[in-house]
Amino acid sequence: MIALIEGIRIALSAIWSQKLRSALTLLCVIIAILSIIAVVSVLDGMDQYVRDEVVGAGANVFTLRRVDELKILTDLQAFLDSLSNPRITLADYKALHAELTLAEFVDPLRTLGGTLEAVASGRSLKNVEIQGRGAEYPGIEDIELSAGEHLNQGDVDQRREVIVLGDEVATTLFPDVDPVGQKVRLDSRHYEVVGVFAKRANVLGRNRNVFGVVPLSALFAQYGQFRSINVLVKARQLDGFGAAVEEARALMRVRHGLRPDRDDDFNLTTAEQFLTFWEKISSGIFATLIGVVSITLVVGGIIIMNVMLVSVTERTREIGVRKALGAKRGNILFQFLVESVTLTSAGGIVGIVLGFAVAFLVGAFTPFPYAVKPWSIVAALGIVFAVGVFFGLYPASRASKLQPVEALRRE
Amino acid sequence: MSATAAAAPSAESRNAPAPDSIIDARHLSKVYDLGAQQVRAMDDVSLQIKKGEYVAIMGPSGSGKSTLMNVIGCLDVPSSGEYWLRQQEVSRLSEDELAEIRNREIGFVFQTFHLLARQTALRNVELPLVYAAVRAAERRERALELLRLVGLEARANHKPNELSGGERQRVAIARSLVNRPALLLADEPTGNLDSRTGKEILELFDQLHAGGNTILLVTHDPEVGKRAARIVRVRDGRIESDTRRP
Repeated sequence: MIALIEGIRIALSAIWSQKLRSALTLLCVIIAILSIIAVVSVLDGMDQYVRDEVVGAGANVFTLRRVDELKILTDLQAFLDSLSNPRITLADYKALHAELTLAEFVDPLRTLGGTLEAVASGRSLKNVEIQGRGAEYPGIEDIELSAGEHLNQGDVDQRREVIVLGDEVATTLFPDVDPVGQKVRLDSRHYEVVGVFAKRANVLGRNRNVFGVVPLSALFAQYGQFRSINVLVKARQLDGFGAAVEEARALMRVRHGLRPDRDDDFNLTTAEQFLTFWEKISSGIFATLIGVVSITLVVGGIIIMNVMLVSVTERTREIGVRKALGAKRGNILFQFLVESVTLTSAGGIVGIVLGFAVAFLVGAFTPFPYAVKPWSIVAALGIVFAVGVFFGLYPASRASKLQPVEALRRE
Repeated sequence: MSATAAAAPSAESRNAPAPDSIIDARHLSKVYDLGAQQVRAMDDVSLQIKKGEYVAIMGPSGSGKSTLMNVIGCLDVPSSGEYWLRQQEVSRLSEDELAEIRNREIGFVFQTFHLLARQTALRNVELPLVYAAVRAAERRERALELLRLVGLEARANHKPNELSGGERQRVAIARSLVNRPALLLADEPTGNLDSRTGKEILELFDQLHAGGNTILLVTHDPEVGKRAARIVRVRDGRIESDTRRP
């Protein structure tokens, strides 16, 4: 116990006497620990967020699509094969809407990017996501209004040129007037604003407030209906979700005339699939993190070993004096081990603090809540301890083996 | 009892020394193997020092007095011979056992002081007690007591570079005595000091001797040697003479 306290005391004074060198030495360790803490915190925050927002919003919703874009990352061949799938048409949507018995709501979706301009003021906003939808989307998506109304069946049937604006579009185009009742221009047509959506939080860093919803029928009337659409389906009950997906699959296979031995030539995406995808991404990020951190730690460890070796050489006489006064091999070994572990632990603590600072900043400027994970602190401290022992062992053992007579003689 | 120059029978040499013996070295040799050449730095040296003696080992540089001092100080082991420190034969002990002996039995005073530069005088004096695993409060108390003895109580919290040469050597002397060693081993203790300060240090040694400490002083300076009651002259690795002041 005395040895431990003395060891730490000696180590701290040695580190403190070489402040700049210690700081530079520890840079790698600090960066490694900072990355662990920051990425783990942010990733965990994102994970929590994805689960709450994405899955919570569309728990029993699935989407019929021509291709599954997520596959481009997980299964490239399947993605390339799916590029030859037939389009999902408005007729498919109508059939699903009419025939699905297990679905509560069915709504089409087709998006395009466009520039919206306020007719009265001439203010405009580029790259607005224009979503062509039916009238049932409020039942499928958890999307609230701050003013006006949603699209209604009449708007869709009559192909009325009306639009519900996302929060940011409304505040940008109409900073000082009530947007409802105003006109916005989308290319050649004027759409009347009938409602404004409440502000939505970002998902995965994407701003979800720069959009507008118009009747798909009106959008097709303006641009022609040559492109594939998506169809969103909300199952009637959560426990009947699988059955609802299968019902839609069977219907689409019949519509596409697929024999039983053929694969689907369309895609049904569920929130669960999105979660699986997200888990793949986050575990990929995590694996990359471990790789980067390992390399950084090895580099940091080698630097520490080098500095410790220099320190042993510089302090040969001190080691000689200590041995002359009764220090055993074990005392010297311990002293230098404690020194390297104290060194790496200091780096670890700085890294943990900076890591949480980074995570906090990410939390402050993005919608991801950052989560302080106690295990990440424990892991970080365990890692720096191991690095300190592993890379400190050789210099410490060199120091402990110095012969007192020779050590005292050296300058 | 003077040093026994003649070879003693081996049966006799296995016997433990007298109770008041501090050093009983019997036929010590030290041979350095420098590849093709063997250097005999110490050649059949026998030396006895009793409790309370003040002995100076003198000799020109290269005479082997450093080797003798290292072996006596348990910093090095002899190639052959026996070395009894008090009642213990130490010439065949392991490195760690020797460290313990040095810690307990020997107080070193070096020519260049060998204080730890980053530590205060107090911490330097405490150091042998750290390796003796003495508790912090007791360490502090004993270190302060020794600093008082050498007249540096007021400088306890100064670092070596804030002290004069004489003060540094006093700190080193306090350190050498803090664990109540059987032998105070001083290697050219005045070699790095001006003559006036050197004299003060030697007066301190006189006081310590008068207080009952056993002192072995290694020097090449006849003025310093004069202080001791007994002078052992070393040349070419052998004891040349061993004389007592009348």
